[in-house]
Amino acid sequence: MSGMTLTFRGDAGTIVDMSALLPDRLAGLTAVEVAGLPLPCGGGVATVGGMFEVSAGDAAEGLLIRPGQAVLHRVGAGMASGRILVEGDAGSHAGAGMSGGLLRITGNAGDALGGALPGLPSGMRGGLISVGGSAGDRVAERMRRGIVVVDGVVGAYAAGFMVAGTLAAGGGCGPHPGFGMRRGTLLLGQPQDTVPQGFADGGTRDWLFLHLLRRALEGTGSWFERAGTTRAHRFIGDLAEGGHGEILAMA
Amino acid sequence: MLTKLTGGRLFDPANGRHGEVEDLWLHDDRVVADPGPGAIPDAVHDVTGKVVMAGAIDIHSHIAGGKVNLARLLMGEEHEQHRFAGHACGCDRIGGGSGIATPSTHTTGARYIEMGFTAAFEPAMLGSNARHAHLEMSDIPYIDTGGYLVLGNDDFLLDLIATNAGQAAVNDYVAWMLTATQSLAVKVVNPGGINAFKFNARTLDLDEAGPHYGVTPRSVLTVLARAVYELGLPHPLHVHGCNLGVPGNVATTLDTIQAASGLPMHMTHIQFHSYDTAGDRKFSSGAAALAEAINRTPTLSVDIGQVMFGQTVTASADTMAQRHTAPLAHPRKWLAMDIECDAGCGVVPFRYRDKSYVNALQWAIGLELFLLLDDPWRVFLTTDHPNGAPFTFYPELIRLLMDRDYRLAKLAEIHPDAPANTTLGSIAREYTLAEIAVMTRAAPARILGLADRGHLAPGASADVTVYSDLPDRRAMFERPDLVFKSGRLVVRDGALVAMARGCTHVVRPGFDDLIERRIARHFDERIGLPIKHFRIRDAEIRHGAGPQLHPCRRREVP
Repeated sequence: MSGMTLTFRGDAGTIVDMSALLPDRLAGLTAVEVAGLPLPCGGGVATVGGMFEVSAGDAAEGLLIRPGQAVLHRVGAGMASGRILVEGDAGSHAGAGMSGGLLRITGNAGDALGGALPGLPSGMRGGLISVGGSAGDRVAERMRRGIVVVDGVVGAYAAGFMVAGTLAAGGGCGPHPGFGMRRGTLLLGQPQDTVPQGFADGGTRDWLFLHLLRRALEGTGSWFERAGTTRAHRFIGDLAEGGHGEILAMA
Repeated sequence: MLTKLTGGRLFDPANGRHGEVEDLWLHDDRVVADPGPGAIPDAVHDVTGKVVMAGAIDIHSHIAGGKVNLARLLMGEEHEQHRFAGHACGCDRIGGGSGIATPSTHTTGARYIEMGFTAAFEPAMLGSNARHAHLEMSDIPYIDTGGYLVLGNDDFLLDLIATNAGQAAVNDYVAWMLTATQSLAVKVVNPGGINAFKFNARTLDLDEAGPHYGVTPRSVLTVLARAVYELGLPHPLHVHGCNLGVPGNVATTLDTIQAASGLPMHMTHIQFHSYDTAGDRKFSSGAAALAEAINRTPTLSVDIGQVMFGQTVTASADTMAQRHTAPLAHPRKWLAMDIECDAGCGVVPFRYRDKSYVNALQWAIGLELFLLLDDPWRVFLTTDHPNGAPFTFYPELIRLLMDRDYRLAKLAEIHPDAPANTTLGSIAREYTLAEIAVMTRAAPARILGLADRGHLAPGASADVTVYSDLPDRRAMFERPDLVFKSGRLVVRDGALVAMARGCTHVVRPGFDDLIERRIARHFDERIGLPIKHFRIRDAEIRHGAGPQLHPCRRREVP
């Protein structure tokens, strides 16, 4: 890949705010220039070069991040375009407030994946996030558009207050899915034993439009590409918010 | 430490100085007389040709307490967008924090002192929120503060009035509440209206009886104005009247002046209470009529609540008015709540636009009032921060008042229909530096009873601001050359150079202990909080430093 690679070389457990390192912002900068940028980290400010080994390459072609044992928060937060690949785990708020581009995380992601940054009213507004592992609580919170696909399990309040968009979690979800959801889709790869709070049972049938979603996810290698069926149990809600959202649990 | 400022032009209207060149001596935290030729100052600042004034005082600015904090929470994006370099805690690099319309505590103090303000007063402190407000005020560095206690919608007072308990009982209650909450003055917000709102009334006119207690706003006003007068509080009753923001409310405001029936009264943010219904849009300026009434009522003082264009947030105890404004919220969100049966709270984000007819006219009405009111001793510079605009707009506002050409240029930019419905274009008046010094220093200190603030005579607090006399008044007032707080140089060339702490001003009129038993019973039966927990101790003020007391002059009334 002719993109840029950032390999973490600091102490294990170091907390880093990655929101400044976006492909469109780093585009055209040399490795030396990127290494000199300030980076909020562990309650202070370090430089990118102090924390990461920066390879030659253009971030506009793609940004590969190897987190090692670091805790990288806000990876791709606010990203508008470009591609970020995280080979390992990401911390909280990965892809939060993202409006375009592709974020791929091979390991696990923390809380508020594709959600809203603290204090801001809306979550992800566009783009695609795919996670190979599991994700924390409040995934796709206040999301307005775009797709988040997680192969593993997502935590509590998945798709909470979702305005529109799609969250597809292959391993199912924690308590209170779709809390305050207005529109949008939460797709679960596991059957749902009980009707989620605030939702009405909409029956089980074959949802042909899921073929469109499968096509949109082509090339990500996600769980839904491998799912052989489009048959799902549908729940409609959150009824407290008008009931235009849905939770689809694969049957 | 002895400091000398040499060669400055002193604008000190309280002591009859209007630009005379004189040296100023500061000894520790006080202004002192020239100590004579033998004295050797520790620091000498050559301020030849510069304008020297006392520190400015903002008498009405929502800087602490429940609704301010709710506004901060609601305006989360503002704190994401506006961050200031430096530390928010006052250690190391000072002046940090976030927010403009809803600044954090450290930021509030930093932005004020950078403009040469050394005091700002929280005008709406609810009894049940007083402890929170005091804790926040303790945390605001640099400036002096104090809170005005909100009364007039609390069940205990309305019950006293409804049952004809008598003026003496009301006086005792007011005095007890002021003491318990460590307040400086009494404010009334939409008298009786907030209480009526809880019984599903959505409007309440001055002479309309409230749905539950059957008490009219007029009677609440007169009873409270009398209590404040008889207790001899330095600051007259601080009135936020009925019908805020409603077209045609200038009639109510004129009636409210009558309701005071000769008692001293301070009417606040009158810009929001000066609307008439002339013209095609049924919204026009009532400023001329109101200004005339105020000019001929010497017992009245006012502040304006000027609107400036841009994003801000409106935070008010007036749930009735805020519910009316809520559909216009920008961004589209708002909140309203009841506060412990004391009053209410509504927070509505708002963006004043110069291309909006209504907003443009509000802007013009505020300026019209400033310019039509003759006596700068009775009119105060406020934007009702953050309701009309954040307080950081004061330098721009001062320029609009002092520079007619600039004002006319701005008038030409607003909505084209607005100028036709105000007289602003025809007013030639320009404020002088001496008048600005009155309006922002001498008069606020006088109306609040702060004897040692707002002037530069020996004995006064050494709160001093030095400006360069620039033709661009905005640039001049935005960036003072030097600011001293209690004798300490804290701002040099518009930048913070040191930390300082202000104090909290309070009054403590006496009361008959009998009232405490009644209030205690009310707390036990209705509030569910023991009275001893409600009362705020001196040690809780300013991290244990305690409050600054100001005397009351009780008036014996037959």
